[in-house]
Amino acid sequence: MSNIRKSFSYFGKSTLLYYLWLFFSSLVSGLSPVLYVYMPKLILDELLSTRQPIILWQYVAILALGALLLNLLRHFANMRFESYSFQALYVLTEKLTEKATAIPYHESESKHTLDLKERATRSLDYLWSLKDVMMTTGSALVTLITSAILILSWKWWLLPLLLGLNLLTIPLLQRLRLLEVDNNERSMPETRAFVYFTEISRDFRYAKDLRLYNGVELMLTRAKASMDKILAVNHEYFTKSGALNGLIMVLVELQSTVVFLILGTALMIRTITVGNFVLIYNAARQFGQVLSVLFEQTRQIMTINLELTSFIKFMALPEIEDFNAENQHEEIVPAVRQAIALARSGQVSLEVRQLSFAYPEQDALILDDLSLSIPSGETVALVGRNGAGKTTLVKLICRLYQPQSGQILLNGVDIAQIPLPEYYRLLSVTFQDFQLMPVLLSENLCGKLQSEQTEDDLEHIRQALRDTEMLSWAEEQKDGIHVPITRLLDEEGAIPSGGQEQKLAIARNICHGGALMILDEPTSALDPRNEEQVFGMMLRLTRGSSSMFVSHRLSSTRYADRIFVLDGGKLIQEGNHSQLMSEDGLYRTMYLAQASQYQDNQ
Amino acid sequence: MRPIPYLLKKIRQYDPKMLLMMLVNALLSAAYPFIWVLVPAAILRNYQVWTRQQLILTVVLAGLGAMLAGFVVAWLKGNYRMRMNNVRYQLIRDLARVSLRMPYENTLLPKTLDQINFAHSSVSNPMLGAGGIILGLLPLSGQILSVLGFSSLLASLSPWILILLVVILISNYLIIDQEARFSESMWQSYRPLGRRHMTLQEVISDPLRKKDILLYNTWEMLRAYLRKYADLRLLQDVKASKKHFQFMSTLTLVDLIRDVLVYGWIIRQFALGLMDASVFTLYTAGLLSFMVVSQQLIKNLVDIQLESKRFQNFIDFTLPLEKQFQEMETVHKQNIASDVIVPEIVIENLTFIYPNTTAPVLEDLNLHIPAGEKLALVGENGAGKSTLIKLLCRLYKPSSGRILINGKDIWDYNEEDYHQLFSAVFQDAMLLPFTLRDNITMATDMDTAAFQLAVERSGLSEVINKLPANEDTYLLRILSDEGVDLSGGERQKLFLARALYKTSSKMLILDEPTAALDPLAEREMYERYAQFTQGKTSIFVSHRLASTRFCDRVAFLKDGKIMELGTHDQLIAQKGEYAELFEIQAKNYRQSASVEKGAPEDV
Repeated sequence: MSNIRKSFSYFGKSTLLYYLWLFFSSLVSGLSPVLYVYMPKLILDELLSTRQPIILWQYVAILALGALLLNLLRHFANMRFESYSFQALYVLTEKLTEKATAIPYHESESKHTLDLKERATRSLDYLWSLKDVMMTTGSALVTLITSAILILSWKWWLLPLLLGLNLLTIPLLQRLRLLEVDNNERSMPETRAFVYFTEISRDFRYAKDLRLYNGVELMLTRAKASMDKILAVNHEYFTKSGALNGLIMVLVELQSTVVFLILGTALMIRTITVGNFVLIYNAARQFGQVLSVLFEQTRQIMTINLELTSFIKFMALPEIEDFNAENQHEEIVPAVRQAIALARSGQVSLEVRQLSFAYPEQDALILDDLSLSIPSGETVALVGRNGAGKTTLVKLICRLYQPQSGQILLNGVDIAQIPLPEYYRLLSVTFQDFQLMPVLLSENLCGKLQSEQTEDDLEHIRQALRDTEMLSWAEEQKDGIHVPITRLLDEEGAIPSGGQEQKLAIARNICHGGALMILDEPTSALDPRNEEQVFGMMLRLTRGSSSMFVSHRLSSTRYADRIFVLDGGKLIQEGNHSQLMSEDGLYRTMYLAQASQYQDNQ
Repeated sequence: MRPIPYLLKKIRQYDPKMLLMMLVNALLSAAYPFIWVLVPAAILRNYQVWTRQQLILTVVLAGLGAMLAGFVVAWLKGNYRMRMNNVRYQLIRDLARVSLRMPYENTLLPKTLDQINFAHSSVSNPMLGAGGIILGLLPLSGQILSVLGFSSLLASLSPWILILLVVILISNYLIIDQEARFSESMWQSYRPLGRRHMTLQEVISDPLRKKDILLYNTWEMLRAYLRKYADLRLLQDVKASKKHFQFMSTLTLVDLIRDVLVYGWIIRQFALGLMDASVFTLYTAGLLSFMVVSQQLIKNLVDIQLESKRFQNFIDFTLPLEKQFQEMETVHKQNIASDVIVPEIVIENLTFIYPNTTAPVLEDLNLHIPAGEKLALVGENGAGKSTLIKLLCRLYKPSSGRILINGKDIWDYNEEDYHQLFSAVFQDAMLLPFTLRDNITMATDMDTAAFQLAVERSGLSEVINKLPANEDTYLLRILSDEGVDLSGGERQKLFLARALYKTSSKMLILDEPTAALDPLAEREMYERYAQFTQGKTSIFVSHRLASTRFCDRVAFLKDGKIMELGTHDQLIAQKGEYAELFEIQAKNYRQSASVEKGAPEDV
């Protein structure tokens, strides 16, 4: 039960109301079976004695109206209870999403974390089914108590006898639990694969290749293999649990048999009246049924509790420090404060010292004792072959990963010492696989909701769009600069082309105002005209301030103040274009390789 | 076809034992509730005349019957559920098969995605759609038999009781059914809201988006969006709950009438001396059981109906397409292998308009590609290069005009055969989460020689040798913990290897294959290009205009037409747009760089 309780702790204050309505609903629905047990006894007794019509009709009226009232109340309580259940679901899903964002970057890519997240998301479905289980349990509990009272009113020893018979089912239930736990563990690794294969029918990104390369059968064969694995695990579970459930039913029916033997005998030796015979056997049967319902529901609650383990585990994963802006009042060393202030005023110098890095779970060093230095105000280019470590270096500068050894210093201070949210304000980064969010353009650019944007913000946005020559495009759209981007959330959203998207990303960089602008492969998908425009724009906008870009297009990187050539995770050349061209190294080779394609005489 | 017959057919196809289980369950679960209704009545009737032994015998026999029935019914339930999953997984794969085989053009239609989404939801969850129906079918016949049994018991009281029961049963059914329809339509109308909420959640928690969210600190803003959607949804949910309450209350009232009438009748009969205590017990217990089982039956029927409607989408989507596939197999289309040695392509007056748009992307396009030619297709973003390629690959059907391969219309050929001819690498190619080998061969078997050759020529062999399990290494981390990610350049090499592996292909199409390659890898590709394309006709799409140098001719696409066509030198001499774009790129490679872009003075 602890996981359920912990899960609800994320729901907050409304939890109390959730439980209150649950209690009320249970109370009311638990009482009505008793009505149906007790009234017939009264009626029968009356019929066997004085048979007064008035009394009979009174009893019928009590039965009918009582049932009506209880049912109406039950439905009403359910209605209120349900609305809290919906709320809980939404709140917990939001927390889950928040957590996904707060997990450190390098953690969020591991299969274990992704599996856990998948499982945690699915466990919230179980939380939803909890409401029905709770209602059933609650009412079963009430019925249990009331029928126990009725049984006790005849012969006290019948109750422990029934209980005893029921308790025989407990070892069976424990076995069932163990089976569930085992099944749960064994099917977890397959969940993501299963989801992948289920999604394949509606993920059209695979459509062309699978057709052209006749890969449909391969896909389906692999899908079947994966699904058969799950079925095999389930087969074992269902077979064993089926037998156990069957045995439980046998014990339940054994009870009924015993009850009728006892009561039948009692009737024969006249230690029970006809009316009570009816009452007690109904009460006893009900007691037995309700007890087994309780056991079943308890088991389900335990299952839900078990499933929620993933949710709790996921929510307990360590977060990026400083993710919540509230925890920012730690000590900031004066040296760090100075470095930040300097950066805010537009001066950023970056130094990489003996940096070594390998990706988690991999041995190969991508960066190998790398050292380089970027003075403030310079535009710097990172070039090199595929796999040289350029993007990796950028990711390390962005603190998405931590190096195995070495440091990165900003204005002389180790970046690890700068509070993360503060640090991100100093950078404006666009990665190669960047994507704008499906919210409004203005919201994408300045990171604030439209309702919270000030006049200043709007002016910044317009200026950034002007600088990137996208203002007229924006103003042509529906709602101008507040147009939704993509049609994901709004049918009338705008869909910018590749080149336009790139320019908007730069506008976002500008709006963000970080003193160090970083662009990773900004033009690889652009046609010549757009490429020229974007690169030109970048160079113009970053003149005098610190910026870094990574690119294969040596025709553009040649204009950087300083070019770093990386190879095998090390820095092998450094200088401006003409210096590097005068050396007989990798840079010259690469540059000429590209340039030769444009020469008229091959 | 209707859902239930369709599912029964599928069950018979995939797991016929389930039908037997349904039968057994029906009989046992129908008889089951009767046992403890008849036993007390029998006791009450006979307790004054029976011996001890007779009592014990009766009760124990009944008990054994109940235990047996109880055991079997419980065991069947679990086993059946597992088999249901098996059938459901088959349906999931059937859906995938249909979706992956349907005409590619269908992916452009929003209606298709909608249909598939519905179909998908009807098989992806064990409780909904197909799963819900199949699970509901198990108890259904038992419930029907039970209800029939109990109502005939009660009907023996008086024919009026029977009529009353039937009337109430029908009215209950109508109320619950009405409610189900109502909630369905409510759900439909605010489904877009729910979809947006979920989409937004998926977008935010997508690992690919994470960098941007962190670096630009947009979580708070996104959370505000999530809350807005959640609040709106909550309003709808509460509205639906209220409506549900109203329906349930009506139901309760109707039941009240029934209970009062039937009870009243029973009491009257007893009071008139027309029945004794045992019979009274029998009938009151019978009434109670009837109430319980009839409610279960109705709920089950309504659920099955609801899920049937959902599942109908699956049938509506898959059945017509499956029929289409069958027809295509039987229609004898010309086998292409014998006809084509090296393809010569003629495009005649080709026009193509995307569905739901008016402006043609390609308009009256004409192009002749001689056999074995290496053609470069260039143009700006959005000019229609990728669209043209897709039309050539028979992924789209022309709006008008035609494409001929060695004189015959490409649509006259059998689709699979035609695709054998093509190796294409598109810009948005995706890795499959299987082994590297699988990604290249796209099949469960492998031609070792062709594999080696493809891997060498594409430059992928260096990559493979660095991997822990070589070509048996899994890619991505969906199926394997040790799955590996490939960089952009490595991916490009893999896709090239895949294209080269296909030895049957006579036509090689590369769409921006060097976008992610570094300068040296790029040059290597160009140098090897002649090698790859030996004996084939090829098209190289790029906006790196330098790549056109090693092609035979260049086709410049703009405004849906081929504006300029000729060798590189011819087009430069023409001083048209191609020449202009070439110059834009070339000038930066000259020693004397201009100062236009504001670049610092160069030496």
